[in-house]
Amino acid sequence: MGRGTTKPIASTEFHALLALADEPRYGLGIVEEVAKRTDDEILLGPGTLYTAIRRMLERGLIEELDEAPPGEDDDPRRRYYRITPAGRKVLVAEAERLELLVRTARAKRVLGGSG
Amino acid sequence: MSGRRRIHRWILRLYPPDLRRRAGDEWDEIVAWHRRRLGSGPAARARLAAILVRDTLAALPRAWWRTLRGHGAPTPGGFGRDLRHAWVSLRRRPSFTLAVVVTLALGLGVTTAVTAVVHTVVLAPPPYPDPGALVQIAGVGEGRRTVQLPPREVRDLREALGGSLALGVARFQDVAVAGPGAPERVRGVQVTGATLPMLGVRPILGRLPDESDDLPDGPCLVALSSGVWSEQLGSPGDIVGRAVRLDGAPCTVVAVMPDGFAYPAPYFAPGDLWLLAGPAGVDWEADTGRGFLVFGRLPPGSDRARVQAMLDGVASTGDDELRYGVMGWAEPSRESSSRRLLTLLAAAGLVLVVAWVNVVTLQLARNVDRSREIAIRLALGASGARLARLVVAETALLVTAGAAAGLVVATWTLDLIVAMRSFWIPRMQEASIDAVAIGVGLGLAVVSGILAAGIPVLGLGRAHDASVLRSPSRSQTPGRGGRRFGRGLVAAETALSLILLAGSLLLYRSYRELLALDPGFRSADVLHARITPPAARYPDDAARRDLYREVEARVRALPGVVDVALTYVPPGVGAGPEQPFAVAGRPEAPGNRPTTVWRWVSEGHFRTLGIEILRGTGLGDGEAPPRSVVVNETFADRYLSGDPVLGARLRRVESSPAEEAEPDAWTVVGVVADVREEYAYRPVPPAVYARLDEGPPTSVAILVRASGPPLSLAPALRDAVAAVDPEQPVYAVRDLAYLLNGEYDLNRLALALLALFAATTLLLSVAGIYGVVAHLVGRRMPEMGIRIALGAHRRDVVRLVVGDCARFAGAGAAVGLLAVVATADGLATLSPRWVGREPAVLAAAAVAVVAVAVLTAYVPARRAASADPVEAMRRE
Repeated sequence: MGRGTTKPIASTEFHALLALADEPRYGLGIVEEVAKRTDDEILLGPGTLYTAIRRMLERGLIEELDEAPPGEDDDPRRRYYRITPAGRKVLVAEAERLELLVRTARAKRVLGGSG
Repeated sequence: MSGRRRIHRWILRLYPPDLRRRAGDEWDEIVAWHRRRLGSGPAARARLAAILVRDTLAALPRAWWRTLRGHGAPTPGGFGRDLRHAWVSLRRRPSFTLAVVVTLALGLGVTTAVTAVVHTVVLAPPPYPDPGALVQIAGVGEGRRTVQLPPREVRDLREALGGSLALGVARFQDVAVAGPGAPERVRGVQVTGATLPMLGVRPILGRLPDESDDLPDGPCLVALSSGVWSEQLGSPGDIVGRAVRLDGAPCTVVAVMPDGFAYPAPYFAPGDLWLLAGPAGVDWEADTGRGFLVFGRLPPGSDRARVQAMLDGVASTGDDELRYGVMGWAEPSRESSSRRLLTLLAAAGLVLVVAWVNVVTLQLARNVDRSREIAIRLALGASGARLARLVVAETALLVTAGAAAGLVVATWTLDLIVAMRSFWIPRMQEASIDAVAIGVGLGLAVVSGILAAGIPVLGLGRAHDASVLRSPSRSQTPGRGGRRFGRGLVAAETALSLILLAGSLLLYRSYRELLALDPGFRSADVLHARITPPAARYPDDAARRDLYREVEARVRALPGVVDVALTYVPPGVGAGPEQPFAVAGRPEAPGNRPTTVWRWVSEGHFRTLGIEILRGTGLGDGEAPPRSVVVNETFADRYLSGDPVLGARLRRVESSPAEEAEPDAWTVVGVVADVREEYAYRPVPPAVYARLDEGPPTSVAILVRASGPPLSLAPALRDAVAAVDPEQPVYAVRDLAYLLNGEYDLNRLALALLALFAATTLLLSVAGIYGVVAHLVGRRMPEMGIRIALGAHRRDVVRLVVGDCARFAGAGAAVGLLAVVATADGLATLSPRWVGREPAVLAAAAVAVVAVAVLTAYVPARRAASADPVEAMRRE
């Protein structure tokens, strides 16, 4: 197991991993997906995105694809990333942590809705 | 569009190389996507800018932090390994290393030294416990402040503020201390009983005097400085309770103060001993002598505003335009010093900026030299982060060495500043390279490091460009960007050198102007000395006059003495208080009383100082009846024009009651040429000369015109005085010319420093310009070779290179001139006779720096002209 994979991760990284959970994407693809899923709540800037990408690469959470996935433009300038098993594990752990938080918040009636 | 795109690319360039490569063109895509989303119009543009700024601020530090910590690509070995590698690499380039270290040392050194002075003089608190609570009380009014308050007002203040604020006072009263050797004149300070306890300093012997000691009829009590105790008295351990002789009268010692205690220093003259004012006979009601400095200590929990409120409640100051104000210790003095020192600090800062420009230049040149090496390393798999860490390690070594050497330079510079002994800037002697100065120096060193490392690290990305490897020749023609940058550096160096050079030349001209001012009398070959007969042994005017006459006669008889004069204050050294007077037969305009300088002189005065008698006679025996006076030309023109001058009668107003009663006491018998009265650079005021033995002076200066070097007469002069009264100290034994030029101290100091800074800057910019031009020429050698192959004369090649440099040096000089014109007012604070922005001086300085730049460029230009066409063709 890579070092630190069970540590909580920054919110940018969580969103990026989430964006990569279903299919490989390149930089702008990640930004678009995050924006779409959060109703434009989170708009990643380029610096934030690539700092996060570099960090996730170092920690082995994602990996770069050698060529564009089928169906995408094969624009040689684009680099595509895919989530690794370690990344998926971190993503699940983080999602569970958040779910626990949400459950706690519900139990304390901070949030509406039933249990 | 392309402009905006360029900004995004610039932001990208700030990131570590590996991240930059990863983002690549996708960066533009993302920015473009944001822009599309936000739409057009100014509001959208502002939102986009906000997103980018927030993004950069959040991501950039994190990106670099991870890169430098080595997370970018784990490498074997840590930073220690990088340091060793950097050390080897630097040792292989000794001239580069030396150039960077020396440059940084000079820039950091002078800045640190001047910072130390500024800190001590302007910012450091007075050396007493809890200095923040110490305040000074002064009369403040529209644009002026009076720090010396009359005794009656001091009494009122003490009564009004009473228990709420501890007050201390100081008034100088020089006294002669009789010790085992010759009597010495020292600076006594009259204090109240509450004064020394307020300061919070404990004595090393005895006890502090307090308010119970301060009785009007009490015995004379004194606290001694450790200097007087050890030097004049020989450090007797049982001094406390014994009497010492001050001005011939006994006074009991209650305390010896610790080393360095010199109240009311700092900023005010240091005291040597402290006399209780009550026993010393200060009558707070009737004393109309000089005023007291007033200090206070705020009690815990109080602040200045509260004291100010109390002061506002105290009745008037006795001067309608003034009210009492509370301020920091010696605030007026600090403020005037700080204005002058900040100008010097700015000058030192310019040296540092030039040093920085040079370091950037050197790094840039080296960067290009290394671009091939870097490209090879990158091609072989070294990560950008690893190379960045090497650069950081190298810079760390260079800056550390530069800062260490800078400390040495700072110490030397400070020694030089202190050795100039400028009396115009208080506390200068105390300045040292203290923690604050070192802190500032280190901060500047860190900035230097960032600048020095920034250039090569930012250049790493470009080095990745594989075209460097494909290029057939080791050198290549620099791109437009590189050349523009190099030329910009030439212009910047020229501009900065010009500012300092022109500044110091203008200051030099101002200094020459000062020295060239004709005082109107001959100060060369005149010895100055002073005696002050103590009131205890010379109780009245008659006793003092006898002493003066006797001393004058004995000095006149000494071999080597051409002439002697006695005067209360010599011209050029001080003018004394202004004397109000009235002219007989003239109606007096109330509220607008004429005043004049009134000098008491012996009859030899005009002869000794070579002052020309224009009309009438001097004051010599037999020449003029008693109560005769001589006036200067300005006096005659201003107050006696239209009337016969000789025979005019004057009355001193506010003198003694007896003299006031006499309607026309003094008769004008002569007119002498105007001489400098106090400051040579101010207009000559009206002056009246009266006979010394008809006046009240309690102290006189002895002026001796010598046939040889004046100071050689000093021992004989001391003996002559001792022969009349062995207990009478002789002090302030100096060359008169030295005393006259004392006021030029500040100008001289500023001039020396500015000249030093200018020379350093010029030297640095020669090195810098040489570096840039040599670097650019080196890159263009193949081009030059081809030009020669195509028939260009070598002369043309030299002209091309030198002309290029001259154009940009010229542009820099133009910018520098504008800067000098804009900032010259700061320099004016450094000279009492500021010549202004003399066009000739500015032009000369501009020509000089451009000439230096051109000459500097000539050497590498010659090298360019020696380019071998065959070699160039072969490489292509």
